[in-house]
Amino acid sequence: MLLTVASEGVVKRRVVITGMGALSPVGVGLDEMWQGLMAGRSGVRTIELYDASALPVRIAGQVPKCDLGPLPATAVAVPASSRRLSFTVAATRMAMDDAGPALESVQPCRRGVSFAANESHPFPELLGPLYASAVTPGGFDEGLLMRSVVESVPVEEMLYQEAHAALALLSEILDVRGPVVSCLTACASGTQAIGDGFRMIRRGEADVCVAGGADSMLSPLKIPAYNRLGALSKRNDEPARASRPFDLDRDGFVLGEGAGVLVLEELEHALERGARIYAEVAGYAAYQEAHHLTGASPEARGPAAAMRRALEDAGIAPGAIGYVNAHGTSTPDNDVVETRALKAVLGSHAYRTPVSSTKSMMGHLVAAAGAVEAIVTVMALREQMAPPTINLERPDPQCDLDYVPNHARALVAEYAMSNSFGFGGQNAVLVLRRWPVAAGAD
Amino acid sequence: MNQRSVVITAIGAVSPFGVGSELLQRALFEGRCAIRPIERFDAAKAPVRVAAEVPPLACETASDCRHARIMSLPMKLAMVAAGECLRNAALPPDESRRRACYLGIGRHDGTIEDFGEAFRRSLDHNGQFDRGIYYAKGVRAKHPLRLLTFIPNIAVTFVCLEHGIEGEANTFTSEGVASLHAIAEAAVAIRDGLADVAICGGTDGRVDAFGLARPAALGLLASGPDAVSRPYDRRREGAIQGEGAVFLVLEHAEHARARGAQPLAEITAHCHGADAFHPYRAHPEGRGLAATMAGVLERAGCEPMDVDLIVGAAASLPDWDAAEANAINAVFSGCEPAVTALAGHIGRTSAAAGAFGVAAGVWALRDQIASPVLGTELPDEGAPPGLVLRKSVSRHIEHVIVNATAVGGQCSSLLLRRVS
Repeated sequence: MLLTVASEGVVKRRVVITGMGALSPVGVGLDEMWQGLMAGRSGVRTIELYDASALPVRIAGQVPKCDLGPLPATAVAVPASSRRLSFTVAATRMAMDDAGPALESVQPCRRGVSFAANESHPFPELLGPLYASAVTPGGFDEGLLMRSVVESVPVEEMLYQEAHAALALLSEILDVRGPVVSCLTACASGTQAIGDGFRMIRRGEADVCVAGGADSMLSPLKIPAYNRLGALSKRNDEPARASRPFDLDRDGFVLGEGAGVLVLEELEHALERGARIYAEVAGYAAYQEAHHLTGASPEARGPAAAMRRALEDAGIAPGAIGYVNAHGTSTPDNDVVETRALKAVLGSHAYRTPVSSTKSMMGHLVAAAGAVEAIVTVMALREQMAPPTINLERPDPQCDLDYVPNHARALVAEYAMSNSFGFGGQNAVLVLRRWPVAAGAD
Repeated sequence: MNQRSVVITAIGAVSPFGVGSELLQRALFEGRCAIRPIERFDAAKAPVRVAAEVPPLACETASDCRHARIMSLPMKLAMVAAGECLRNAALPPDESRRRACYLGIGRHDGTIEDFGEAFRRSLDHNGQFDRGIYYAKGVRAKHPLRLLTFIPNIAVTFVCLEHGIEGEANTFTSEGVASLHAIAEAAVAIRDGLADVAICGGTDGRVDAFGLARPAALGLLASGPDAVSRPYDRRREGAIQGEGAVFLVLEHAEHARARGAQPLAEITAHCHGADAFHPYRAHPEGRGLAATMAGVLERAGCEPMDVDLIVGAAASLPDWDAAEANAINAVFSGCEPAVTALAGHIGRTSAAAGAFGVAAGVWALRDQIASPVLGTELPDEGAPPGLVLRKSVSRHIEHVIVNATAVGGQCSSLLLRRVS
């Protein structure tokens, strides 16, 4: 049966994933990334993008240098310097190639985009002189500053700095005239973008949706700011060992960059066109906890509620979960709280469930994190392999689950969860279901 | 209206007219214009000199809130509007954690307040910017938590912390359509049973050097000290930047009835779309809006004849206003619904615009009055024939369509129905 019927007789359409594209510090493209994860390779290195020697934190998860292919011919050229847009375009191209003619097979108004991307920030080197020119004895001449910004910053830079620039770009180049939605909820963004796309198709507003997230958090404006929050690892001398979720010696997360794009498709439509199906999006929930500005409550109310609601949405019992891709940031608080939440939701089953944090290898891709991690979770289901949590050398006694330490491992899983818990108490969880690989395929 | 209908039961607003939804409602009906020379900063040398600013006292209404000192302006405005909205709603305490919060928010990339002091401290003895000094000293200029204002969903966190709301939440950043995305999502959350009560809306505050610089650089803003915002007028030269925040409370009709709350209007359908045409220009036919307006009619089972009023997204932009007019004329050919817009009163309020439009639509339904398109004297040749000019008109209003458009081509329509 292709349709599930909810309690009140509303027919729920099912949503499957038929294409994926990813760029991450661990590799460019699905295959390279997956092989890197299976090998437990870290993508965290000393920052090479610019001279970071004056920064308190000089390490990050960087997308390796590579040819990302041409930028699309749009009415206003995308600046090649925009990393998150270059990533967006490249990952989208990979996902579209992977999915075959998914978008082409529906009318433009039945296509959707749901995408999360941050605003980009100019480098201090650009802003500094602009500010310097507007300093007055008593403060700033803000009018003059505005004039110098308008006169000296190229239009395309201004246009594509906006948070919704990636969205508008995708709508334009893919001729998407249905729902085009962007959310931005810190570390939960990518997961919410996929959740929104999933709901968009499930409730019949679109048949195919390009969903995901992109980010580049390496800006020298951002790294010092996050550092001042006390959130970042300062293990500058050992970049590959800096992100160590669930390890006793973890000291914060590592900022990263990348993009993940998924083609979501209504099940019957995918079957009709004979698409290769990776997995089903079975459930999703987002939950805002009103506890504290930056942290979850000690009892992990928000993360637990998000997981419970996502399981309920998928209509499965906690015991059905066979793998969890953890939020696992490598901050002292998160990893303990997440462990607590997993135990609260899964009960004793938590101890039997492989839970891994691929942020141990990639760092934290922020707006892209949930999207890339959803792709990793799909691959784990498809290959029945759990990627490892690397750098887990001295387990934290408060983190006592099976985190798949240091080596990838075979898995038996029908359902998996991908967790994302954002700053400000914003939690989002996806439940994904394995799709049997067709005989003779691949 | 059946028991599962999604109704709006409270509104809160802070606008260029000041704090309070009543103030805004009266100003819209009375046809007052809030556009003035910029006062927030010395705009003498700026390429844009007028705006519809939220007055300083109104901005500071949030200063009693916890964390006020680390809030950005859009966050403060959201707090003020949410505060009034929830006071008006008089909801009982949330025992079941079945409330939701959805917000559309505009720029969040920092202001002079965020960067000014940091860069000022980073000048060498010749007054030149020095990146070494910036990293060593400049970055320490601001409270570390101020970083949070760069994270848009923190606005939702502030609102939820202040009012003890827990549940489904999301933050939309799709520029001019962000708040209609938020309101539509809230309506669906109620309809699908994800929450019993949803608070939703939009906020934007961008009358500052960087907030104005982007639209100015794209040629979207009218320049000159005498610039006028005149939607659909043939002399329109560009938008004038407005700002503010509007929050709504949504719940099931049955939920409202059970707690004795008076529904103000019903949300019957939404439809999101996009021009997919140009990074910041409108498709000449307004194909995005034509599809979303036709979409809400179809989803609600309505005919074009049923629509009595359209709250347009027109913001005095040469191409966007013409596109919307073409879309209205195409979808409502032969029907002549009344058409109004708010940009003449309060400028283009960007991420808050859809929420302002919904508030205006609700008041039109409640009071059976259509407010005028201010500043417009000579309607463009293709302007919709039903434009309400100069002053408010009383008329029978059963259905209202609210439109929103974003730089980037996204658009959205929402259909509101009168509650009898």
